[in-house]
Amino acid sequence: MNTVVNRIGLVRFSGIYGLVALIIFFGATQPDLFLTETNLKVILVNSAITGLLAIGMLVPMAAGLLDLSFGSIAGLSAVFMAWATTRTDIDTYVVALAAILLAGALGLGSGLLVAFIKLDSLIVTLGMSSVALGITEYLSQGNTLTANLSPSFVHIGLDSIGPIPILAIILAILAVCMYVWLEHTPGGRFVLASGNNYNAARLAGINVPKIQSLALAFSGLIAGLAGVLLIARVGSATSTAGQGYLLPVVAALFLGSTQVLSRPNVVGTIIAVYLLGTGVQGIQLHGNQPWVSNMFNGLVLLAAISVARLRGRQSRRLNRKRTQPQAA
Amino acid sequence: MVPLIATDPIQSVNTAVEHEDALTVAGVHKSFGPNLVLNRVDLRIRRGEIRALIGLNGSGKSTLIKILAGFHAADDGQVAVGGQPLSLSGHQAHGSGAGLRFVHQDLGLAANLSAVDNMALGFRYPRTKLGTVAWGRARRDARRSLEELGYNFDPSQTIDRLNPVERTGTAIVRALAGTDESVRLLVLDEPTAALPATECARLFDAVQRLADRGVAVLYVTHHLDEVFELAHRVSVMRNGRMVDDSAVADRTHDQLVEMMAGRPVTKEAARRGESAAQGAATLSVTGLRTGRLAGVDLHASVGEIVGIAGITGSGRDEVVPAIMGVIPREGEIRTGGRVVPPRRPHRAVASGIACVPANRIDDGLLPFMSIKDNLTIAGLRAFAGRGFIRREAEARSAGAWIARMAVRPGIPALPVIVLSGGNQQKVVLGRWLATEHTVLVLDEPTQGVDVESRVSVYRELREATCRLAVLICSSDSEELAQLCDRVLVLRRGRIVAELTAPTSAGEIDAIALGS
Repeated sequence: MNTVVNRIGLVRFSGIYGLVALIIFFGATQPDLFLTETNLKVILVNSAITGLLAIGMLVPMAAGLLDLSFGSIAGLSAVFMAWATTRTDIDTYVVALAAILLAGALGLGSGLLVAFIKLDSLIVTLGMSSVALGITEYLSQGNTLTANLSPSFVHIGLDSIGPIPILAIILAILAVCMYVWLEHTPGGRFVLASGNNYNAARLAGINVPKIQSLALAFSGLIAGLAGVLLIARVGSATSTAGQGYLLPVVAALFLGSTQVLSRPNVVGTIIAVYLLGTGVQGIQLHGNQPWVSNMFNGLVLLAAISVARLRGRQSRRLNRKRTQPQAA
Repeated sequence: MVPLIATDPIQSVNTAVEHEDALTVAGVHKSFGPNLVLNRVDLRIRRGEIRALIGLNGSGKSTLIKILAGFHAADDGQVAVGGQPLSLSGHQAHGSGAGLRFVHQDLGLAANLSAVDNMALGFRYPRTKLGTVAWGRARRDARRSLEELGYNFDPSQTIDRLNPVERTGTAIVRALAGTDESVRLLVLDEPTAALPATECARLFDAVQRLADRGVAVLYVTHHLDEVFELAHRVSVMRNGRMVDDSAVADRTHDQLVEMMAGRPVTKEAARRGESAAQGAATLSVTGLRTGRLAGVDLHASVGEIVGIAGITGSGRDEVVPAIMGVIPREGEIRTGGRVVPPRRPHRAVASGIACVPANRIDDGLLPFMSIKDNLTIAGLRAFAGRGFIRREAEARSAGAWIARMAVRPGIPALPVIVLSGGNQQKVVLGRWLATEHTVLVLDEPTQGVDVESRVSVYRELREATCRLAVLICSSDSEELAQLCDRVLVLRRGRIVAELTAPTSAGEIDAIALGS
């Protein structure tokens, strides 16, 4: 029984089975709405921004840190785009670059505080999140800002190459790069080691403070990119533009950490992002109740962390049994 | 050997108090599984007597204290406090009610609370009529209790702002808290282990004042000079037995060392090695100072294993953290002529120092990463062709080290945390043997390591000296005697002797305890 479960990866890839089950379920209950090209594209595009943010936050998480500021930083990046493109004649792409760098600078700020003053990343990024929100509110003055974007830039947000939305392609490229970096380079391994045991990583010769500050700087940069792509897609932004991403992304990361490998990893995160995106979209087609998606994301997050903890306990027990004769 | 004289009448106690035993221990027996740790132990302490209890690690003195504290149940024997029999069922409230109080080595104070709060945690805060805490009275009471023992500091400061002596004072006052009359015996477990040598006098004064009030003190220590300075009588334990009980005035330093170690002390022990003849030192340490280390110079060259011995509190456990820059330090450390910067462990590693820390789980392992990842993490860049890890080369190297170190179970993908302690240690050591480092420093390299793994660790260390300088800090004198070309002995933060092989554990212990 156990070998069959292992063979088909029921545990390691349970997310994929869950995703297929959701597609079959919503396909059966909403055949006219769910299995349409438009709807599937909506899922791909909506999940692309969530996925980008999740990939960005994967790095601090692998390094043992939590970044809660990415939502606000993405919102700041979007509002900055709208604000700067309407007030100046600077090229859209230059503004986009500035927005991303601004976001990266905020992330680096958090990273330096965490690494060199040895503060808790959760609290630091919570504070940085409020700082980013404050700047965003100053720029928007409570209004919805409509951006003045160059047409080619708007294409990135709206168009597809073949049947695949450009945003989903950008996510795919980033995910592949991140996978290769995390699993196949010394840098990725050092990040994972830092997250595993701070002291041991330092004594193994790893510059852990540097890794911590760069990890948070990276998630800041990616949050900036996500904000830029968000404005390319919707064209306008309010100060709360990024807030709604916090829970889906955190849920996807923790759910993703239960998939494939029992630690933060790219493939698991992508599976989780699309599982959540599909679930939320399917539920919304059923009745379009906005509270449902929050409820769904929250329940998935709670279920994911519970399963991870229970499974960890179980495997520790199994391993103890296995190694006890040796230890004795 | 000195005969067992525990039943001798006690005559030389210099306090003129009524003849009443504060503590009587008779025939206490205790074993853990097959290991007999206390073998018919007797102990009698008079009111107002200061009794030193000495013995090497593993002699059974900690177990005896823990039985008195109700932490362990005794297998057999009787204990009476002030003439009243005490239940030995392993219940902590019994001893406290009977008037036994303890100050353990780690003091057990809450660092972020004030001394007043910490004392009140022992019994109760004074209350006002409304039921709120009478802070003014609490502070005055705390201050008065401290002054009675000769301490003079503001008890409303939090513990982390007090110096070690003041902390010890707080812990003593807390242990005595309640009604002073009821306290018959205070057990101080290595109270000077955390104190700088210069600060011990104030503690001694406090202990003396307590004894003058009629409280008996059982003073557990590793430092023989404290025995002679403070105690009326001294009890010596070895291998679970009480081997001596005599007035301090009747004993010499060498006699005590001999009874603790169980073998005669050779006087020519502290000979100096001809170490200067070695080539250029690979690791050289000059004027190393930390909380405990008071200016240590040492060097180690390729081809030799240098050991550092010292009892608890000698500073031995700070040598490796200081060299690696994990704790703040003063002094200069060089490898191959280059200065190693402080407070940057990764720079120490980059300058060629590999480290096997004392606490494997907290400082050595990447617990949830695989055996393979743990083995290759330090030399990972060697496998990185054009930026990417060459997986096959990495797996081959990990497999080879698993085989060579006989790591079991030898499954490279298994999380390292599931291995036994000995196998984990092989992994942490193997990590460095595969790299190009020139110095290997180890802290307690075989702590919690089974005998079989120990043999392979020793063999690898010996072999590694052909390209490495090895420095080992260990509390296991047998291990140092067996393994090292030179052994430096630390006492109170300074190197007091350098022994060259062949040496013996007894010789090392004798010097570590002081002569």
